[in-house]
Amino acid sequence: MAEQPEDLNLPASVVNKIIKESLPDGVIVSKDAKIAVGRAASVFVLYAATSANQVVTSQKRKTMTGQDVLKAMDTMGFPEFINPLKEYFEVFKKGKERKKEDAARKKRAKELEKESQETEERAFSPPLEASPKSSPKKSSPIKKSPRKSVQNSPKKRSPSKSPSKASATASAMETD
Amino acid sequence: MASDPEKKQRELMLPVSRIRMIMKSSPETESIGQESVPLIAKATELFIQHLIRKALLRSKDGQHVTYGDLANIVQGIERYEFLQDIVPSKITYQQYLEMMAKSEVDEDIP
Repeated sequence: MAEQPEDLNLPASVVNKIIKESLPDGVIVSKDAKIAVGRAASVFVLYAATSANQVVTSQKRKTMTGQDVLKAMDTMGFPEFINPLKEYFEVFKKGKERKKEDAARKKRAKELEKESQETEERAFSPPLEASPKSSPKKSSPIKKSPRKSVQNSPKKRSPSKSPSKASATASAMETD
Repeated sequence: MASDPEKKQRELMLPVSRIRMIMKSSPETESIGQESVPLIAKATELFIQHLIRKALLRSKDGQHVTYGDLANIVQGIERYEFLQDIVPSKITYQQYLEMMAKSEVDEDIP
């Protein structure tokens, strides 16, 4: 499948946005200048790819790495791009790691939640201090609170029951 | 939560898929590592930023950037040589006729 020639252009809307954000407010860029910048950017991509590839082949390797791209900036005559690119690279790698960690943490949290739910189901009244630690979400302490009130309520009810019993006996006594 | 400058640094505006397609269109590139594509995308963003700011410095009033300002940079600075055919200077028809006449003379000489 051969690519269409327009597939090798960068989207004009994105290029125009970058142009706008690079300049102070109120600066006007003519239409043909914007188009020229877009074309120049496409050629820059190709130029960077070719230059990075030269680094790769000069070291008798096959796969283009991030380091090769950084080195290519130097041979292309844009060494001042290297530092901001390195910063971006670090943040990019961290972002990727963070994403992985986040996914792993979520998975772990889910498993723990499931486990704690299972233990709750098995033992009706588990030790209250231990369960909030194991389950990271706040839902489980909330779930527990009605149970706590259920445990407490018989105590509250028992005094109320005795007067009724007493009154029952009293009424029984009255009828007698 | 990431702080705002960090987020801006990490964000790529150019589409990675399109960058990869342009990179692959070169017959020389064999195997493109995963991390090299976003790096080249980011470099291209820096390049656009750099080029348009340079053009603004060359502009006559500091408010309007024209094609001529870009062409001036490309033709005048060595490291933009790779763009010479992409952003050529515009010439008048009169200049064009003169150029053609000159090249005809040049061809006659040998």
